[in-house]
Amino acid sequence: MTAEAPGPFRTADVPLTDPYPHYRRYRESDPVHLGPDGSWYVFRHRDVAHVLADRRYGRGPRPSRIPADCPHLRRTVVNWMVFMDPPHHTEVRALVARSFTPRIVEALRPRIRRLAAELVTALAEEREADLVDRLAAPFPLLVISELLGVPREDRAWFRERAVGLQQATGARVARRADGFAVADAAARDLDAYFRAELARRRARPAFGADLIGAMLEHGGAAADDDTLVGTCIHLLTAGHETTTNLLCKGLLALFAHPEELAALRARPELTAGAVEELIRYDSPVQMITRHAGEADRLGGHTVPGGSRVVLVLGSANRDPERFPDPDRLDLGRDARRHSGFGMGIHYCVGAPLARAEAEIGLTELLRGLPRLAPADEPVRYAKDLVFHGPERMVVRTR
Amino acid sequence: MQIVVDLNRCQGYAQCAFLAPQVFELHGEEALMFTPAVPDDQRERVHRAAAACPVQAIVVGERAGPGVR
Repeated sequence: MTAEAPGPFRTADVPLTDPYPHYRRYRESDPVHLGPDGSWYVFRHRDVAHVLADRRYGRGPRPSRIPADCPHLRRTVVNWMVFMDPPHHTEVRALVARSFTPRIVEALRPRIRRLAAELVTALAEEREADLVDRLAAPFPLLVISELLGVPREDRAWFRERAVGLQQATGARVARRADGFAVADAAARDLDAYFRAELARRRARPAFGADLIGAMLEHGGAAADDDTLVGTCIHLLTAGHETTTNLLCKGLLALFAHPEELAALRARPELTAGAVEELIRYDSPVQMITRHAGEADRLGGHTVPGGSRVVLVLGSANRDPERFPDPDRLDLGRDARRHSGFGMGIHYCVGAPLARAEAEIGLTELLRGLPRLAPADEPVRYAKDLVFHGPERMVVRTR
Repeated sequence: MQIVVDLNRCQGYAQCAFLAPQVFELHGEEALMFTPAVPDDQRERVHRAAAACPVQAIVVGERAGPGVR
């Protein structure tokens, strides 16, 4: 099934609202594609799995694109495990894994449900509202605030900094001249905030049964203050926009498939399984990158050592070799081997939390708003293919 | 070839179960079952599974036991 070669792959050419037909052309004709930017784009599930499970591929040299005049941002980001390779990665990952367990998430579920229900109740008071601004963006931030023990009165301040920090992502600094400066100021504030939180917990160890307290308790050699503070900021950013996008795109997929939506409304207990299929169908993170430590054969090409390799998760999750009839949304299918949370050593540490948030958020939305539907205003997508999803999505609540 | 999994480290990410499903199996959310003596035809898969574990909880050796690396 070899199709005609579709030409050089540029992320700027990918249609944001529905990138999948575009990916498909590459997956069928040149599944490991050398782009004009010098990166190798990987479109098939088996090749994505190969790269992510192979230790010859890593994150490589530390991110160098942060300007030298952003010291706070640099200090924070060097402590983000997503950019680390073993053995340092393993130390920090193990510290977080011992603290951020499925059990902590399970214990958080009643509070997640209360936060979701409050936001849905507020949403129901308006006939039409932007779902991103009123629910999908604040909800995961409120949850991560609960998890980190951020008190209620600090949460508005906290949200402002979280949004500021997002301005440093690749797609955004390309469009906004002051992106790095805004992000650096946010990193400075958050750094000071979490350092103070560490000091408060050390002074009164019984202070909080939250994630910061747990990380201090499980400490060990990896737990110096820079690591702990950087990790808190990392969890805040990594667990925020991704869940926003999962909720919005999950709902969009359901709107586009009324029978599946009706089935879910009739049997809300199916929502947990449905979330896996929604992540597969329209993955919140469409692309991630790796650095090839040495030359490798991939899809009939030799990828030289030192190459930047881009794994197109959105394409791998629509690969018919792995998922039969991949463009069909089927909430009943076994979608568990999707790569929406990545694979291998960097597999999303927050996956249990994301699953709980999406399951509870969707359940509360459908339960509290029986007539929820898209409004006439078209959905506006953020111009970003890493953190992929709507920046504005107006819905009708009744 | 034999394997040992440090179950205090294991957090049930299931990356091993995807890469070597005949050797690693996840029951429920967190309980990992595995075959300590690895069949020869699974060696390659088990090495990949060990490399892919986020918390590096899988120890692979010709003979498993305390102190084996």
